[in-house]
Amino acid sequence: MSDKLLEVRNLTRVFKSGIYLGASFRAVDNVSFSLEKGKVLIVVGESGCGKSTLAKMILGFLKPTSGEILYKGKNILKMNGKEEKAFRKEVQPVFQDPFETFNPFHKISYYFLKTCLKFGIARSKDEAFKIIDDVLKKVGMSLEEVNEKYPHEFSGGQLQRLSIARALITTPTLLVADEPVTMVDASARIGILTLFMELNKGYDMSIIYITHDLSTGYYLASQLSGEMIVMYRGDIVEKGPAEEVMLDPLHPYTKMLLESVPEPNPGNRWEGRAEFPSLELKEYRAVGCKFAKRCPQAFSKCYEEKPELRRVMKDRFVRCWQVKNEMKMNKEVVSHGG
Amino acid sequence: MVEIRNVKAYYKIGADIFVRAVDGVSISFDEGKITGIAGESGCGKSTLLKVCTGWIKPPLTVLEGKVVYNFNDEEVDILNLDEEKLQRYRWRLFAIVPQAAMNSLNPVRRIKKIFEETLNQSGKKKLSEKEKKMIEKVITDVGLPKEVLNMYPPQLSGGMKQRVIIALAIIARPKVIFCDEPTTGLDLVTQKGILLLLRELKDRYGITIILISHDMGVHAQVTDNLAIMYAGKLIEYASTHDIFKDPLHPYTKSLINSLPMIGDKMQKERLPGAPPPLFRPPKGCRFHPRCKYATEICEKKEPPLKEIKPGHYVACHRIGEE
Repeated sequence: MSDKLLEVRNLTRVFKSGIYLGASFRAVDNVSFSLEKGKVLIVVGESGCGKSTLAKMILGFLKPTSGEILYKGKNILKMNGKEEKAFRKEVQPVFQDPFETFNPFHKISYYFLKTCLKFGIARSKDEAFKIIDDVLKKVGMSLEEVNEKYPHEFSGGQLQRLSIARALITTPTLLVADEPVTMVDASARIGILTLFMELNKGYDMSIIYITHDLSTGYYLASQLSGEMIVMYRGDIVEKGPAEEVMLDPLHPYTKMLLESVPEPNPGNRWEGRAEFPSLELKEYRAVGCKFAKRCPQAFSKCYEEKPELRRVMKDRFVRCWQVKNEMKMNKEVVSHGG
Repeated sequence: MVEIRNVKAYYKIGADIFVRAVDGVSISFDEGKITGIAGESGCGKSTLLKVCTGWIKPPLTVLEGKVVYNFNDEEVDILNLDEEKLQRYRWRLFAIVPQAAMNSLNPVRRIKKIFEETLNQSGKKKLSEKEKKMIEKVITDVGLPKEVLNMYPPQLSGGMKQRVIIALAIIARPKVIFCDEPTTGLDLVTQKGILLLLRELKDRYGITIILISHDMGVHAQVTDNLAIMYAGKLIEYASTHDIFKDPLHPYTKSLINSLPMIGDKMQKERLPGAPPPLFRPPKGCRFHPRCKYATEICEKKEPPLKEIKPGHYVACHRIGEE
């Protein structure tokens, strides 16, 4: 138990939509997983799969409808003042849009100083600037480059580095990064990903990397060997060691996603004609498998009964009636995912 | 089909300050092909599109250059047309799928009405049977059911709206369509559909397509030729295949080498630095501050775009010198 840094148990968040009176959908539906210290978790899924809602709940920005989030064994919603302060200090977010992270009217150093002083990390300004220079070096920049400058003087990639540097001031144990490279240009992406790799290897920092971009997810996974969660309409549909999931996907949805990744190789182009999914709110409320309507392999049972997330191989979990159970010995249904 | 000759298009942001977004670009787009334009944000690719379609409004000004369409054996320089004439060519000669256009559909207009308004720009009031047929035809062309015509935009998904936008663009059977980031904000599966749809339209109607995207994967999948822009300059232009297999410009090289690919465990190299500000670009080659091969000449002289191999153009002092 003690090595579990974060544990998410049966987490559910229901949103009400106003068009139909009382209609609601589960943005995050009974999600469970755990993360050990120093490990990496990659969450992939398309827009609307609930990955950002999940991130907000983990960061304590959004209250779950049911279920709980334990950080170092403590429910994050039932922490006392001191514990909460420690939690805020140790769990830091990195957001998608670095241009929105920083207020254009403040100098970058203002944020760094504020973070330093708020968490009582530095007692004086001089001490603070030393710490700031330190974290900036970690992200490959320096105080000279940053001091006295405003956000608009930096590119997206640089700003994202700065927002990561700001998160590092409190020496966090867990970074929750929601689409951190989506707004960053291609040539700067690898730089950000390399930075995550260095932080994980060098400082034993745990990272939750949330993305819709499977190739950056794969890249991080292949370099750091983390776990991967694939989400669809609020459900975890597949879970396992990230590299295995990407190279040998089991769930039809994971397969479909991987087939849709535009591979940067003109020698291996898509074939066939354009096909489009039909997306409807109904999928959130469907009785059977939420993916059934888009699934090329769906059969009658898929429309009637929702499959559980079950273990099919040593570390592989899938929510699908079609996937055969490779573990002949035990047919256990795993709802806690671990 | 479309030829751009030495276009300089700047944004005037101060008395003597110009953002040199497109700075001396010459390129021609092949007929019946998909030409991709790639580059980081702020490299001038969207401005190039504005110039190509005569969509020039202050602060954007075109200082030099021509955009020539070869249309029925006549040459039309669209930068020299008045608004009225330009309007006549728009939709019929070329059409635009602007960035994030799917969010610009009027939410309280039925899709049918939006099509009627597009066709009615010519001044006619009532739609003829032929025009109604045309609308139904383009709707099926983009793979949408006819019922969509009676729906309102908020009832459609992002992918469906984008297909409506594409249907609107091709309704007058233009020779050329310009698509600016047509799949940004769409899901992976939908993105694949839209890109395959563009490819189908090219094959079926021989439409020339100019596809602007920052995503190199998108270019690899559907474009025939690919132009790489950097800081307002065209730095490399070749067949998509050659750009990916044999990139020559150091920037293109590092761009291609930095792309993560599923199944490829190799650690990727990162390119240090950032693109220069366009109101104060560096002298000489604009890439030289970030280029590990830069020499003295790169700091002083701007490299011209040269044809190194048939159809493969590069602007770099190092290439083709030996």
